[in-house]
Amino acid sequence: MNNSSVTVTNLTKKYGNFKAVDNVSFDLEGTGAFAYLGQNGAGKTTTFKMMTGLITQTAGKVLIDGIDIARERTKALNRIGALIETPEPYSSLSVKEAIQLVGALKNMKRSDILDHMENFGKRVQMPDQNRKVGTLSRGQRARVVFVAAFLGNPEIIFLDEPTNGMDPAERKIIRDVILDWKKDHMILMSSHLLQEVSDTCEEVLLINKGKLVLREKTRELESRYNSKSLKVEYMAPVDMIKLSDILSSETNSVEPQTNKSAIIYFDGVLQTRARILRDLQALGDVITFSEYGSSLEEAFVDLIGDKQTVDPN
Amino acid sequence: MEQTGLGWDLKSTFIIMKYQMLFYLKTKRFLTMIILVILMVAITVGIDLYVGVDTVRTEYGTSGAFLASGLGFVTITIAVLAGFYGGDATSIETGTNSGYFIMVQPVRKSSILLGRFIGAYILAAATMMIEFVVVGSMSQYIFAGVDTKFWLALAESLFILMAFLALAFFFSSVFKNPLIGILFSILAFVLIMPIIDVVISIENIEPWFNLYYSTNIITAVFAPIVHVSSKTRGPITIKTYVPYVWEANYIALIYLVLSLSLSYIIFRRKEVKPQ
Repeated sequence: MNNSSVTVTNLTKKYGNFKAVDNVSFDLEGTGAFAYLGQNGAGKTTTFKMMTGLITQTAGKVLIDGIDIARERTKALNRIGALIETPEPYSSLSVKEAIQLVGALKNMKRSDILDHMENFGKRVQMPDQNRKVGTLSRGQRARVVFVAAFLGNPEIIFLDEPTNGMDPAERKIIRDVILDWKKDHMILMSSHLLQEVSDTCEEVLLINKGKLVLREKTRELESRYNSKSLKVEYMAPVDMIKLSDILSSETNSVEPQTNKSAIIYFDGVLQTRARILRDLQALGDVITFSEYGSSLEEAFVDLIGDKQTVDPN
Repeated sequence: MEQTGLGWDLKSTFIIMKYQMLFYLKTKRFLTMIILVILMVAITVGIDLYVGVDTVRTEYGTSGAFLASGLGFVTITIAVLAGFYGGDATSIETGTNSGYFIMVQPVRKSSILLGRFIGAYILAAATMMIEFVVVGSMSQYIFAGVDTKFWLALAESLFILMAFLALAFFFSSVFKNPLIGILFSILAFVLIMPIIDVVISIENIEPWFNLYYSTNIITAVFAPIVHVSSKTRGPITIKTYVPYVWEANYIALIYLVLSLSLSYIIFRRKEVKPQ
């Protein structure tokens, strides 16, 4: 049983008159994955940096398992594994040396470090241990620091955009690890990939312009924001003009993709959706009728209220 | 062991020191410095061997005089070594993404700074010793002995190197860019400080506030120290100052303590902001 806790109280970071993080409070307990979302510059990374003692807060407090990170930094850092921004091990060290350095600083036995490299490293397909860090690609380097962050089996793990710079295959590996680890660890992660968040995180914390604007269970949030776009696909080509005409009363717009498929934008009401399906079937045999896009994305855009700056990943 | 308390601080300092040395060895900085020092020593040795042992013995007369001349390059060696080993010591954490790798680990910034300092010092001292070993061996070969002041010169060099390295650490905490920190340190040690030393002496002021001034002691110990000497040319009298041993030690000690303290204060307050 993991009794870990992270308590953030009135956390504020000011740069001159600009408040990068403004009076943010939340507490997390036990196990599971929590998403910390927001636009670029919303204050996510600044919060993570204060939570790991990388920067000092202007006001407020961060407690890791009840330990004040500002007062007892090393003691608090004992309990966490962190991947903030894009960490880069010294380029002249080998992968093995870079991991061993972190393992040693976590006071791990050499054999435990090697075991972790062997088992966890294999799982995330860590590059060859003897390769110099400086010769690795961005994705490979990210996997090395990912392995380092999980060294010593920390109860609490902070991941700031952990899949940044990774290809889809690499992202899947990381997602699987998070899904597995969250069962008996606490993971707080930020990501621009909302589908990834939807797949992995039980709760969402949304920060906008430095302020925490929402905390809600992911499923509840998604159910509040049913997708307002649908994808339809026919067995055979259909007349797209006719399709637009018959849906004109129900939809905001129809966007043909091919002569057999289209994206339909509507008001998100379930009754409307049922009528659209009925109308579509009148034109031919429908083989796909599904939500298009993420409802989490809808929520994100709606709550932040600035569609222009949302990363659509 | 819980990662807190003095025991852990010492252990983490050792870990940082070990990997700092590994980092220097892997970046070939150590090898480059050794080659540089060997080249400098080779010039001295080469000239001596070229003119012949008898000529050298006649010219210098004593082991002390020979050592004073042979160790003339030590000051520049100290300056270059300190700049190369210390000029990026803390900025590599605060000015690059490496900071995000190390600074989230349960290790105090004081341990990082101290570990780096000790690691850099060991390698810099080892490199500088090459010069002493070669020049000392030459003295043994030519004069069948080594002046006893040789050991004092070595001790002074090791101590002054420590002070120069601490000053380079201070520069590294001031500059964000590691490369600029290295270049500025070398420029300051090899050019700016010697110029200040000369200009101040011309003004007939003892440059006791300049760390570079303390390096005069390394070769001055081989003869009785003349603290002030004057040369008059026409209407101008120029005084030349040489520090006493205690004076050189005080200067180095003050620079060592102040520079390390300031670099720690800055390093502690500075946030990781990669360039």
